[in-house]
Amino acid sequence: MLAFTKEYIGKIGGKVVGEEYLPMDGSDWTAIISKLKDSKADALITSTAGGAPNVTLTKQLRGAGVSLPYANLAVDEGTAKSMGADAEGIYLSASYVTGIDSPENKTFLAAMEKKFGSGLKTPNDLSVPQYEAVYLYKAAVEKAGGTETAKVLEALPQVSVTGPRGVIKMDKQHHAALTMYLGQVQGDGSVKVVGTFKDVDPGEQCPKLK
Amino acid sequence: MLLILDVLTTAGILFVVSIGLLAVFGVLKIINFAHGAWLTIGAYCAVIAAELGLNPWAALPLAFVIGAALGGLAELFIIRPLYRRPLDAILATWGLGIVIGQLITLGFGRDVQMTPNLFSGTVEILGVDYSAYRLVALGAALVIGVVFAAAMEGTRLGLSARAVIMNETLARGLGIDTVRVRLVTFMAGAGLAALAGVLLTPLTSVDPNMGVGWLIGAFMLVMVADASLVALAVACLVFGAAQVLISTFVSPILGSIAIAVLAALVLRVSPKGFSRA
Repeated sequence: MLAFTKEYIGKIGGKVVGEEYLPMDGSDWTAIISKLKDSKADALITSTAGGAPNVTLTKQLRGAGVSLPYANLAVDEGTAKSMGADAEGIYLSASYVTGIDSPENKTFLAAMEKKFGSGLKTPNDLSVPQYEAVYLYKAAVEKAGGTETAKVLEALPQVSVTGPRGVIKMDKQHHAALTMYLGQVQGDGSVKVVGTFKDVDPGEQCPKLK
Repeated sequence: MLLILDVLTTAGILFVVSIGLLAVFGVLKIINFAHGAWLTIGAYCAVIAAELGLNPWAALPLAFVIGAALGGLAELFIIRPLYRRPLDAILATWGLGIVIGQLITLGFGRDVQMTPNLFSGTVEILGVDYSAYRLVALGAALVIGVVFAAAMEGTRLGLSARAVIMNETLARGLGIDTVRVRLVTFMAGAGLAALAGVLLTPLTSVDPNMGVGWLIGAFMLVMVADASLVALAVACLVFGAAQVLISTFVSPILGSIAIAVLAALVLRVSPKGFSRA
C-alpha cells in the first residue's frame, strides 16, 4: 500500500521527503513528529495498525501543532469519531463510509439505528462488507440449491446483492469491483464524501477463475 | 533546540510514569507489575471525570485518590501475604494487572475512550513552535519529583520509609510500624501511577491495554535507579536522551528499544545501576 502510494506520488510530480516507521505497538512518536516538522513537508500520509495507534499518533500530532493536510490509510470512521476534534480534516479512503448519499445506505443506517439504538457501533469499511457477504452467500446458496461448496462457488459470480454500498457482484475472478470513496472527517465526527471513484477494477486476482 | 525539548520532555514523561513504581520497589522490595494497570485506571478516571462534567484537571486528584484506595485494597489482600515470596509477588501483580485490564474491558468496552484535552496548542519557545502540553508534562514531572523528595526528607512517614528502605529488620526493632509503612507506600505508589495515567491521556489513546507499553520502560528505569529518586531522574534523562537521539538520527525502531537494551547493559556492567553515587 505504501509502496504504491510512493510510486503514485512520484508519478504525479510530488516528492516523498521522508518515510518513518515505528514497531506495531510503538507509542512514542516524539522524534518522528519533530522530523516531520523539520522536513517542511506539505502533506502527511500515515498507515498504522488501525484503532488505538491512530489515536495515539493523532493526539501527538495535534499536540505538536501539526495541521498539514493529513490522509490516513488505516483509520476507520468509528475510531476517527473517538478522536473528537483531533480528527477533523483527516482524509480517509474506504469502500464504505456512513456519509454515502444513496437510498440503500440511508435505509440501512435507519434500520441499524432502530435495531441497536444508542448501542450502535459506527458501521465501517470492515463491518459492512461482512454484512453484504452473508446476503451474497445466501443468494448463491439459493441459486445452487444447497450448501455444497463446489456448487455455491460456481453460483457466486452469477448472483448479486444490493447492500448499503449498492449492487455488489463478485464477477471479476471472484472479486467485486467496488466504488471507493474519499472521505474527510468533519468537526462532528461524521465523514463527508469528497470524492467518488466508481467501480474500481480489482485487477488480476485469481487468473484461473473466471 | 527541538531536540533538546524532545529530550527534556521525554525524560519528564518517563519520570512521571516510573516514580510510582520506584516508590513501591524502594520500600516493599517488590516490582509491582500491575503498575501498567494503575496507569490505565488513572486514565479511565479522566474518562469518568469527563462524563461527570468535571474540569479535566480535576481528574488528577480524583485519579490519585481512586488509585491510592484501590492500591490499598490490593496491598491488603494480594501483596501483603506475599512479602516473603517476592517472585510470587511478581506473578501475583502481573496477574492482577491482567484482571484489572479485563475488568476495565467489561466495564467500559474495548473501544478507545475519548478524554478532554488537558492543555492544547503550541507555544513559541526559543524560536521553535513546541507542544504546550509536553512542556506542562515536564513541569508536572518536576513538581511531582520535588513533592516526593520533600515528603521523603521532611515528613515522619518519609523518615520511616527511608529507615525501612535501609534496613527493615532494624526499623521494626526500633518500633517503626513497617506494615503500615508498606501499606501507605503502596497506596502512594499506586496513586502516583494513576496520576501519571491522567497525565498520559493527551499523549496516548485511552484503551484497556494502554498501560502495558509503558510498564517495561518504567521497570527498566527503576531497576537502573535502584530505589534512588535522584538516580531515577538521571536514568530518565540519560535513557530518554538516548531514545530521542537514536530515534532521530538512526531509526525510531531502534529508538523504541533503546531503554530496554541500555538498561540491560548498564545493569550488566554495574548491578546497582545509577544509584551508587
